Amino acid sequence: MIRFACHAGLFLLANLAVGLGLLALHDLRLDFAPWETDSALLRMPRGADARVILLGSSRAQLLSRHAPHHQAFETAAGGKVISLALPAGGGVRPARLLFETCLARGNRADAVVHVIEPFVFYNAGANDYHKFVYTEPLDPVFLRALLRDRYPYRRVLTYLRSKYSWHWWSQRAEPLGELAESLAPRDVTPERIADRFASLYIYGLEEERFALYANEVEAIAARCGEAGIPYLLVAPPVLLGEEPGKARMETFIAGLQDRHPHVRYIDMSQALPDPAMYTDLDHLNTAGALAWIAALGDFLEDALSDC
Amino acid sequence: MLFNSLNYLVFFGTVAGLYFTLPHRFRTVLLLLASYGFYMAWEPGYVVLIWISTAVDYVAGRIMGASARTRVRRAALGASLAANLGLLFTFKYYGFFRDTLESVGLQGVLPASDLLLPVGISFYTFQTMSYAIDVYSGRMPPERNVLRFALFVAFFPQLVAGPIERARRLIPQLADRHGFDYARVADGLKLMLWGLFKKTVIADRLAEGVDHVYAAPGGHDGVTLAIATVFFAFQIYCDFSGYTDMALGAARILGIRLMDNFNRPYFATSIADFWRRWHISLSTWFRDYVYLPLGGNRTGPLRWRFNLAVVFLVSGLWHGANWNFAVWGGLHAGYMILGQLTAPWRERAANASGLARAPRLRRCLQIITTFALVNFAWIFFRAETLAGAAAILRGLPTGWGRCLLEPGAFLAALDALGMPRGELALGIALIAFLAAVQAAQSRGPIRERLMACPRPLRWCVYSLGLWSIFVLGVFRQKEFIYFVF
Repeated sequence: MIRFACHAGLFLLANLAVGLGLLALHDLRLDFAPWETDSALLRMPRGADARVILLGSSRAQLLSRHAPHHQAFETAAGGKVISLALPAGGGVRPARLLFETCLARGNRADAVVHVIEPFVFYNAGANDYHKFVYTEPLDPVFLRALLRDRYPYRRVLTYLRSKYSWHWWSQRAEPLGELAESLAPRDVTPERIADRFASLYIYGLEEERFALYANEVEAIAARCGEAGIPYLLVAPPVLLGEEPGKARMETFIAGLQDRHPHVRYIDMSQALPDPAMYTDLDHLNTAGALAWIAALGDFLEDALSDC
Repeated sequence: MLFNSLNYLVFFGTVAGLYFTLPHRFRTVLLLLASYGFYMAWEPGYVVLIWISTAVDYVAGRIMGASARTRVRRAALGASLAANLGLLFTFKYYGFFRDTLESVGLQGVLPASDLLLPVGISFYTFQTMSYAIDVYSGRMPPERNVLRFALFVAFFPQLVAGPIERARRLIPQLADRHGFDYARVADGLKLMLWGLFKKTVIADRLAEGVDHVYAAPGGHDGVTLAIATVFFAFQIYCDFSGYTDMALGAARILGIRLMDNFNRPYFATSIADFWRRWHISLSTWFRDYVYLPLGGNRTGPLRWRFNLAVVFLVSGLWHGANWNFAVWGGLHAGYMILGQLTAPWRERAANASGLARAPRLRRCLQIITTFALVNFAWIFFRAETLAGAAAILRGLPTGWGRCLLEPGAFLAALDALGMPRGELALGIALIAFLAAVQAAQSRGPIRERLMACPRPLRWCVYSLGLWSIFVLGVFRQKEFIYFVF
């Protein structure tokens, strides 16, 4: 039995070494600008002094995933921006995991800007079953964080397996530029808004789920407190009107501010009511993004001088 | 708990580790508890049915062993058959029976039932019935050790989808002392690896196209329907034989040699040959316990055909309480009878055409014809309803000319399978790979030939298998097809 165990161990170790070695050789060559990849870990530097660490979903990603937006945001913020924002409804649990990994890499920032929306407190797909692991490189610190966090094991397996997919080995820079398309006022209809809510709130409005994901935001706030970084929560501009669960979210944020003096919140959801600034009901085009970035720059300056 | 899940990997690793660590006297209890735990992972309450089947057959076996009186022995056998067939009827066929009565106008004769079909009920009831029949007919003595008998009924590697073992083969092995044997454990692991490859890399990949087409069979061209049906032929083979290999491999690691269930069935040269190669444990069960008691082929030609029809219809219904399965079984009975009726005519035609002088070509034609016939029958097996099967049969002759003449139409027919083209190409390549492996197996088991190679080469092959499963495997927790039978 001992001979068998030795051979089996050696076999598995040899396979692990070859697999990881080839992957490391490949991944070392991946070098993308913030506007060239959806992967937060590939955008994430090591030991950098940044002005802003950006968290949030695709609304936050608009601030950095497009070259002109990223450059404008860095100018408005007055320094380097590390974007950890995720596409396709990136929720607060992935945000917390990425943020912890970012700090573990020795990065520092003057502020954490978290673009926060009510739906992420109710949507398990945005938090526990999000596919962001598919686009992230194999990183031992991040893997350990996923395991320690008891992230759904099927997602952890997806994380590992996806590194050996054709998609991973053939990936190239995917730069995004200006977003020119825009909506007309007639595109903003109650039916379309209702459809959008139906897809965002697919799991309903369960208080139990809210409490679970609110803990993630609480953890980010606590981690910011430990690192001495102001935590700025921003509700992004949308054309959705009053979003379900928003009052609940704001009550929670008010409590969060009471518990953590370094937390600030600004509601910009109604700041840009012109449909011409949007590509759809809740995503800005370049004109809209630049307008939002200008407003965000002002808020950032005020908040940082205040904290 | 699916064999293709991480849970099973951990479960089996733990059980095997404990099995080789514990003294021999505790191993039966360990495997029995593990088997019940394994079964209860699906539906805890239904383990009671296994206990009922175990208790009835154990007692019936002891009574038959203790009494020489035919009447008593017959009553004990009757009780065993009634209990097992009663369980099967109640949990598997009651709804079908009731629906059939209602379809002929007898509404409300029987109350509705919402009982779930217990996983593997057709397998373990057939296994225990074979024990009772064997004890009754004196082919084996009754088992005295109740724990060992309970383990024979519930042995987890083959509990939910076979192979349907004979008690006289399995029980003595369960009593034997099995030490850790390097070669045997490595062989078992290789079987499990190959089974997992067939299930996750081939079967579940092809399933995507098959499910897509068979979910709405009405709107497809003949080419799409034909490809989906051929894909299903390989899906069900890789699914079921993959499961069986994993079962055989797990049992072999523990020192138990289960019977083979498949022998390259799509290389069969006739339908009779197909049934000697497909689900061997079931076809031999029907041969031993239904066909031969009915008289087999040692009767007149009409009675022999009747016997065949009964066996195949019952075999069809064994797979599922649905008329589709009855038609599937009936088709195979029809094939067998027609094959026997036309044998002299086919022989004369082969001689007249010169085909008899080209045995290889003749064999190829026989394999292709058998494969086509088996595929035709699979349509009824896979379709959800008879109406669905009829829709496929209506669509099957359509669109061939257009698809064969216009490349665009052919590509559209391929796209209608609902699989990305890369996946489709991979699926076809995997079928070709499987065919090549099976052709190579005709010269003896590949595992044995592999053992003659130097270790580095062997390890490369195992690594390739492992990485193929990791990279190409489809892990969507798709159940094995035969779990529902």
